[in-house]
Amino acid sequence: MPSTLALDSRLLAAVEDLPLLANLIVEGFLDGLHRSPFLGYSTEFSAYRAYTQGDNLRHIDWKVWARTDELYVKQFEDDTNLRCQIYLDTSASMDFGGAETNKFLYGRLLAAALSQLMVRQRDAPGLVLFGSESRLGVPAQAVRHQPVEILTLLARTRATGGTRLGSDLMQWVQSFTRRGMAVIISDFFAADEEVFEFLRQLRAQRQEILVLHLLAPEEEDLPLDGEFILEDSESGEEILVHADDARAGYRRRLEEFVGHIREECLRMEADYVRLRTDQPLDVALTAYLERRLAL
Amino acid sequence: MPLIFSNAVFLSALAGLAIPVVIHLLLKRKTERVRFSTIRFFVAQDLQASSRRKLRNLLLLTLRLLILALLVLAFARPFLPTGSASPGARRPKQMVLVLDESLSLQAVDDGAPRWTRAVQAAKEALKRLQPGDRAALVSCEGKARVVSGLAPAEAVLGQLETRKPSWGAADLAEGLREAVRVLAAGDPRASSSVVVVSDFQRSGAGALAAVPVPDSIDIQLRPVGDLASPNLAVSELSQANDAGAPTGAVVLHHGDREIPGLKTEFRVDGKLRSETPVSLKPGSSTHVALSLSGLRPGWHELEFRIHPADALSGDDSRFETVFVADPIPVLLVEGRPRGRSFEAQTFFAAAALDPAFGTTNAGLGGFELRTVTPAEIAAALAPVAGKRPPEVVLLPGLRSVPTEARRAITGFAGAGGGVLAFVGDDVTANGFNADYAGLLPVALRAVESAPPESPWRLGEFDPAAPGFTPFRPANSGNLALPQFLRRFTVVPSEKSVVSARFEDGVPLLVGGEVGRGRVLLVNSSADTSWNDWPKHKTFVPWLRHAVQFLARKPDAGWVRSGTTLEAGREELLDLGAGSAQASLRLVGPGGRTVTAATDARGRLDPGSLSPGNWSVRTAEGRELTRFSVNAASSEADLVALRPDEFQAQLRREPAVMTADVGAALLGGSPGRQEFWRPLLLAVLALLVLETLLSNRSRT
Repeated sequence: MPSTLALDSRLLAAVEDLPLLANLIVEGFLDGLHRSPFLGYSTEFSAYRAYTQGDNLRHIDWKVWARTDELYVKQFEDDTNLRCQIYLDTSASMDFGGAETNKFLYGRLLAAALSQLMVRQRDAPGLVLFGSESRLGVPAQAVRHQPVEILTLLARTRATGGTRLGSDLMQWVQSFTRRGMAVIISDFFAADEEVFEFLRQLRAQRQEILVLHLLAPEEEDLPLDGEFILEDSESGEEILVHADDARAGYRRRLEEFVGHIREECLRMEADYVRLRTDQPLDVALTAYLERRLAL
Repeated sequence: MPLIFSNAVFLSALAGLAIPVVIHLLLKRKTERVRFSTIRFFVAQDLQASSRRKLRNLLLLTLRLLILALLVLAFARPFLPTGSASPGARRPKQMVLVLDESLSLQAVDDGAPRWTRAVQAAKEALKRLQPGDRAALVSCEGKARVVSGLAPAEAVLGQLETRKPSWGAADLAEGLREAVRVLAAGDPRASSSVVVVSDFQRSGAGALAAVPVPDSIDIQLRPVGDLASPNLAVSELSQANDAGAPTGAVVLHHGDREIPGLKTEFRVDGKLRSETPVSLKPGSSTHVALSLSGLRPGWHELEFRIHPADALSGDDSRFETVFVADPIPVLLVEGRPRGRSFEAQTFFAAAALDPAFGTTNAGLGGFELRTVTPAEIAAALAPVAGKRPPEVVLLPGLRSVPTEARRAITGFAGAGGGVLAFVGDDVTANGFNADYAGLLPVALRAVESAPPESPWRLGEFDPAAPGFTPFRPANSGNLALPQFLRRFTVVPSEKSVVSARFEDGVPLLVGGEVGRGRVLLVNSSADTSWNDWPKHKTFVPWLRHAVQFLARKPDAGWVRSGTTLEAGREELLDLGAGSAQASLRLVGPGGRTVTAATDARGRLDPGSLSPGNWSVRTAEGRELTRFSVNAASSEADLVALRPDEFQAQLRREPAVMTADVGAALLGGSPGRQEFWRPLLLAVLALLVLETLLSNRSRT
């Protein structure tokens, strides 16, 4: 995979504009896919046919004309205009990690890149933010200015409070009538039955689910040394911890938690991708494309 | 009693204990408050682990402080003054006196007795000791013995008065070994020394290199004799034996001047038997032949003595006991009594059994012979009061034997007597078979003759059979040389044993038993009419052993040496199981009597008896045996080692750690009980503990 897809601190520092950054990432990502099976899935190539007057000149295959001296046009299937809703966790626990590995920054960038990619594929991206209170950020529409609205909202959003999926969001999901796709970006640290119920509701409404589970390297490795008082970012609760003593038990319990999330996702036939925030974004983008291709 | 520090200035280093504490406090981090995404994966159990960690860290700090403190204390060398000794007091001494009590200490050098000088030297060594010092006494006579363990010098002085030189040999190496052992068990803080008082004879210092002597032990030598003193000694007195050695004595001369006409005396039972002057060149020895002829049966005591003017008189005599067994009475029946002596049928047999037969010395050869005619057999075999009856009857080839004689012979054999029968020209098969039916183990058939140019010879024989035991060793006689020209064909009876055959298998010697007696038939003549065996030298030992076998006295030599013991050597006198657990009296020279007891196996420990001949008697006065005690012959050579030669032969080794752990830990300078060693040991133990604890903390 091209190294330009990697989320590195120098790139982030040089490009403060989130829309521009998302655009750069998606361009780089698509450049790397010119031989991939994902190209043009939204406007599917169907067959060649002889050129007739009135056909759009952009659809003439000039390479075939160069070989055969005959004019042929490429025939595509219609656009799908799939509704792809991005659900981004904005709870306080997401605002964790170093300057290069902050989960919320990673999540926002991922959401932005996905929306860009979806528009390129002529899908209809939308954005839902869920944190201390859930709110419908940008409804899914297949319009050209849709990424601008999504990116603008992402740029203004801050991670704060706990995680709550309100009844309004549930009712809104129940109103879905068309088949669509839901991309969940979260650390799931506030995961309880309410989250899984929400996913089940999405599934019930014929939404294909892609879960992108974000974990910061600091959370996986616990690179602390010595004694600390740890303060919970959401609840404010404190605990005295000696990192050396606690590390083994912490890692075991974290893995058990991640395993539980994965099992629940598999049970409801949702795709699950575990992401470390020091990983390139293309892992998540590729997962999206694979899921999209299966539809 | 207060604890004193040799290097109290080191105690100031205890202030350094503050350094780890300060470092600990400086490096102790304040617990940081860290915002974390979620604390749901931390549990209360981890808090307990943190508490344990704090406790371990505190314990580690304490351990390290303790290690430092103990190290500082060890460097300060604390000690407790002990007893009356002050820090500057001298170390106590422990001395072992190794006193040579061998025979050579009886020597007199230029009028000065060695023993007197030895006792004087020992006393002087003891008097140099101071109050608090200790001494021990080890005697060297035969086996080295600890006479007195480590004790005040006065006690050893008292023991010294009771000592005297013995008749045995010394082993100074053994004495040194005992001395080192005594010192090793003594006080490890004391300075150790061994004082050897001896004439340092070379013969007594042979195994010095085998005894390891720690370097820490000071070896002091006190020579009490000249380096070389002239001495003559009787080193051996022995009687004739089967190996052919003649009876005699050996005189040794350890001197540098020729001795002409040295007077020797040989006494048997106290009576002077011979006086033989001998001349000896410097460093030579001579053998003096002695005669034991004419000894009557029973025990006899021999003594050989010289009378030189030398340094040591204790080795001028040698003792020996001999036992002369009773001769075996043999009745020779002569069928041709009126002929000339060499024509007699028993001539060769009589000459073989007792060469002095018919002379005044007759019977000293181990066989007491009596010749009778066949008509006199019955009377000769009849018991007569005060007269020993025959034990063996020798029957040459007799023409006929009176009836009463046959009965007497048969009865004699049945009662345990032995019969040796020959055949010959006068014997007829029918007459022989009729006369000796039931007595002899064969039946005769017919006489047969060998051509003169091809006589019969002895073929197969049993080496263990009667008469043949002398021929077991190689080159002890060729039994194939005798030639046999005539013989009987014989038929051995069922219970007979053929012990020798001619080359063609015809029996030559046939034995058997009648009642309790033994009979043996020789299928040839007793004279030279049918063979030439009597003219061969194998005939004599064969006949003598055959008669001994028939008399059931196979190992009865005519004279046997008694046991000889060497003074000072641990030897037991074996009296046999019949004398087990018996209380006995030992009667020695001059009637000196010593009581002794045998052990469960009938062995007697003679103890330290003086040289001479001794008689072992029961409490009732019955004599069991005699034995002789002689001075150690190795003591005769008075050539001595120089002190530097003696020291050079010692095997010096580095001092080994004492087995007294307490003394090793708390010992030190005299008058001090030092504590730096246990302190360092404690530091080592704490270091191990600290290592274990710190490693456990990291897991």
